[in-house]
Amino acid sequence: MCVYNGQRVTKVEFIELKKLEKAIKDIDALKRPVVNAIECAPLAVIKPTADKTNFDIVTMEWSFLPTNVRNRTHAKEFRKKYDTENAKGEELLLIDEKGKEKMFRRSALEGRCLIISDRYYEWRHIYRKNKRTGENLKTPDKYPYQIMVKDRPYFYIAGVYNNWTDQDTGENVDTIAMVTTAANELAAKVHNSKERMPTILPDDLAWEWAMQDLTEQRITQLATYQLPHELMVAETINKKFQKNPTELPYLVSYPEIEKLDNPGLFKPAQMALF
Amino acid sequence: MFNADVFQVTVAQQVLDISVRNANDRVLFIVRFPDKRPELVLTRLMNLYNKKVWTSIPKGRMSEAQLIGPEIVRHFKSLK
Repeated sequence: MCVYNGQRVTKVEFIELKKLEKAIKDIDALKRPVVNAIECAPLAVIKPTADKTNFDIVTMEWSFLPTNVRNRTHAKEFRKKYDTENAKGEELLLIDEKGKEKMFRRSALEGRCLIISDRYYEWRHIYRKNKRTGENLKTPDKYPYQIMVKDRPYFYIAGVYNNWTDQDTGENVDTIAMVTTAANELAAKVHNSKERMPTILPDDLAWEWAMQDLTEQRITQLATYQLPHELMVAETINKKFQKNPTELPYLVSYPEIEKLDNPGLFKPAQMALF
Repeated sequence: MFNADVFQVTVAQQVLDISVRNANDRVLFIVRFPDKRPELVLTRLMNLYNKKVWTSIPKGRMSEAQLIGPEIVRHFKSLK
């Protein structure tokens, strides 16, 4: 028996806590305001308990790995080949013509969760005109935006996860895909190359998504829910915001592009928590 | 790309910024104070009686942990 902070704990727990003390010395590396799926960075997630009477807040590795991915080497190849950071809400439950379930189906039925977020980032593509021909140039200029929900310090995005095991090492980790839906009016103007947006759920629908047993029809309804554009606000930010993930992006005005019509009440200072 | 997981709780009339992080497969709550107190890292340990108890990491700030921890729980319960 050992004592940690006045609490009697098992030796195993004590060792775990001491390991944790060492780990948090590197905590600065974890305080990342910008999380990029390419790095498979961890996302904070609300994960229901097995009986769905409660939930845990955990982190999950961003970019879904299906169970048949054998090991980390295979995972790296898989992620190069397939984009699994996002899962289209309209296609979550699909079964192909041979009766085979699509990759996210099982997780959409049994592994629904909620990503906790205070903003997301997207790039708006603007095509300059060729001065001679008047036609659009082939390569667009790209302008980054941060998109938030008005008057909400954080919000919920539908997610689907799979508990993945490296069959060589036994490493076990939850991997997650963010559910996306058709972009609303504002998101379509920002993400004008694909016109998609995360499935951001109001509190009541978020609870339903993660904690309740749902029919397939209801799963698709929620997965394709489109938050009204009036509730969102988009602001242009510095172009190199990804270069320094330990710092929050800052607002930048680009006079050469048309401003989006999204009057919001957002106060940036409230969000600058890191 | 996402900036995840920040929320606030009010303890003793102070609004505290809480961010959620993970290390060694445990969830950590990093507390930032409006005054000059240093950041506090909280997690829950399992004591010998199978009861979850809030603790600071590293040791030494148990009283703050026991004050703030329940507010974090209350915060998430209130989302139901």
